[in-house]
Amino acid sequence: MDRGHADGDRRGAGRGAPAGEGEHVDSFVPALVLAGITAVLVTGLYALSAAVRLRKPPVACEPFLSGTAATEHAASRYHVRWYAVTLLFLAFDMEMVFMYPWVLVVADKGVPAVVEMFAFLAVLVAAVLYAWREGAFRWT
Amino acid sequence: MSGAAPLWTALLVPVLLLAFGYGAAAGTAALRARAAGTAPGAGLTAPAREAARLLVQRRRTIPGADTLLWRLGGALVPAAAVLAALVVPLGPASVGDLSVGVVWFNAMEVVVWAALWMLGWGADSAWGLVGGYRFLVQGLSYELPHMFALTTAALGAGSLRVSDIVAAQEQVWFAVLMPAAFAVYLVSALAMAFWGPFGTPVGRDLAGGAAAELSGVDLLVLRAGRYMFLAVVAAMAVPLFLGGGAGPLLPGWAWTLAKTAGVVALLVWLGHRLPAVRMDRFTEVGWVVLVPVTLLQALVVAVFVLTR
Amino acid sequence: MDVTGWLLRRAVPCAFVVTAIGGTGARLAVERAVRERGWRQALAPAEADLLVVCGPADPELDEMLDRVWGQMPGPRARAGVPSPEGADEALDRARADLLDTAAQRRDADGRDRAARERAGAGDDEHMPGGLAMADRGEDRDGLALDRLHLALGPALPDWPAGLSLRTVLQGDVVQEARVHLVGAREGSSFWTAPRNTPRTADPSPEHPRTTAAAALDAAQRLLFVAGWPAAALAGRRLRDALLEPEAGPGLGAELRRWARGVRRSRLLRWATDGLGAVGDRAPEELRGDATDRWSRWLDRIEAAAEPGRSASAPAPAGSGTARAALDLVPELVVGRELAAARLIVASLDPDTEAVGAHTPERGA
Repeated sequence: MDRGHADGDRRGAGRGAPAGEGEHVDSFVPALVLAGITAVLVTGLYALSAAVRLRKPPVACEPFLSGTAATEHAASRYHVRWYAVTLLFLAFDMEMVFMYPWVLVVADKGVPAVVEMFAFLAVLVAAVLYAWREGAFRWT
Repeated sequence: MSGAAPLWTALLVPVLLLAFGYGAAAGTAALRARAAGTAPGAGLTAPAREAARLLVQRRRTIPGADTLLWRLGGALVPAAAVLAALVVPLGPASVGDLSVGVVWFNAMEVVVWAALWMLGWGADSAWGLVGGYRFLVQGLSYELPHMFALTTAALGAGSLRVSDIVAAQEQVWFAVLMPAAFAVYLVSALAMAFWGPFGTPVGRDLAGGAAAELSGVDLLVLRAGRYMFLAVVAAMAVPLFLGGGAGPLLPGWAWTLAKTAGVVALLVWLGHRLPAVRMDRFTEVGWVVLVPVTLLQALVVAVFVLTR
Repeated sequence: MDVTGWLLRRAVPCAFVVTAIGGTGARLAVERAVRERGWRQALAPAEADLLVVCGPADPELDEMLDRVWGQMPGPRARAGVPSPEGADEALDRARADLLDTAAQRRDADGRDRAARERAGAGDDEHMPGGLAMADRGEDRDGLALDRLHLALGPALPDWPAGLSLRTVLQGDVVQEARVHLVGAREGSSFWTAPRNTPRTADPSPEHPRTTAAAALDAAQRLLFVAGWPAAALAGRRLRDALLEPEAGPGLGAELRRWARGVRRSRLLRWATDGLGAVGDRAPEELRGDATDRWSRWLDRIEAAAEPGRSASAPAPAGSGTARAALDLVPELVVGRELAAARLIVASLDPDTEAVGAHTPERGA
């Protein structure tokens, strides 16, 4: 399922026996438990409020516009002027997909792993600097 | 040092987050009260009194609001905080010591992006719309330096498991070994909790921004969630950079709590001392200064790992 | 046991404060009372439970206030404060209204009944709320984009009294802006008129303490807009202390410390540098960018803090400056994003009470 996982364990100083595949599945049970607890807490808070608040049904209100009347719905196609930043971000986000597993093998693979990763990052940073020169991070 | 704690400790997670979150809110209120020239002691009960007010206050609907997105957005913030705490160890053990703990924390923290955008869009209010999108560009600006800071800590330990990262700091804390990564982590902690100088998505200039149309228990859930989130990012700084539960005399869990309280106090103080950061100016700094700085930090740590 | 009432009594009220033209004195009294009681000020009606109106009544403003009142979820109470003297009493009364659970429940039921009747009357709405979707228009690059109409003010925190800036937004960029003043226009500026409040003994508007208080009032508003509530709250406290008949000991030192802290904030400079640059044709008060303008306020505050300084400080902005500031607003905010637009308006700080019957130029 996850080969890199064993690598990570091996390095874990002072850890007990390396975990098997089984633990990997088990380890998400606490996450579900926590999600359940949160759901219970939030629902409980809503229930408490429903019991004590002035009147249970919500009030229907106009949206706040500093005292003026609304003339249209606010939900609209938003002018995302930092659109170029989102694309740059996507490039780096894909890079992170490589960087997380890379972290586990640096010590094993040695110098080549570091050189390859930072050469790759240098290319991306060059792209960032180019985008910066083109004004991608300024939009006003 | 063992990884996973017994399952019942899951119950402790929301309790501790709420306690630290309450501390942060009360500390902020006390500092504000001092600035306003009133008794700072009143700040200690201020969050509880505000919670009482919001419990009694009625909820609102707006014709045209996307109710599902709107309500879900608010509830996702505390949920993300609690789920992120899954991998944060209290002393030696965390509730779920995942082999990909760092990635899990990262993923939960990004849930807030969706949450705030849903809040802003769902309300069908111009303020909310602007606030929601503000948080997205804030995310685009802080997230990369933040991820590189996380990766650098993982690199120092050669593992994505949080307990391994703690174990790797037996000799020297990562805050000392990689100070730039620690500093960037603290900045991004404020940014991802949209708090203090990075609070503009729910800012005063937007009449509350993404939260402008929220009232009653909906607002209470968002505010509590935000402070819980601030608490969990502060708590995560302890295993990543401050040696986890390591310390003399006291047991591990006590050191974890003490260090977390210290980080929370630092964040509260920063929020008190600093004005808001305008995102159209910060984006440039985030990409052109913080990204190269964190990458250089990662390179230094990589070389250190190779020569160790 | 009545848990609702018990919780209500423990709650600290949260006031949405609206200032009408001519209500600056009342606003100062209300802000002071709210601060001293440890109450909070709301950013929007949704989170508020008190609506506090400072200044004289006006038909156009009243209509807007009714709309804001309808946006408050309840429990809710309304306080009118036409003059500074009535502030404490009006807030006490509003607080008592807020705690009257039975009356609050009646109010809530009445609203729900009215809403049901409106729904029953059944105007067949195609769109929720009877509103249309946003329309499209060209932006500065010639792209056809959705346009939203957003009014900034008059019911907005940290905003000049009675000013309503009608903007058209694409994304968060202001594409068009038009200035409209809401409220009565006779009367004169609070800061230049002879004092008639019992709190201030010195009638002279040229007195450095008055000019410093005016500058502090402008600065606290800018600091709130700039997202620095701690410094803004301290500014309000010092402003109120300056307006006392007798200055307490140590006030000068405290003013200097506060001004130094604000001046040294790099982040604040970074947020305001280059915003709303005004050329040399404008009145001296307004020249430069937003940073220059707030730096001059700090100069005035520091001048008042000097012990033994003669009353040579410049008088607060006159009506000429106020009119110029108002006329500058539209052209300076167009093309800026909302955060910058709010900082620009806060740094120009047009004194809407000083403009008299001046009609603002049509916007850009």
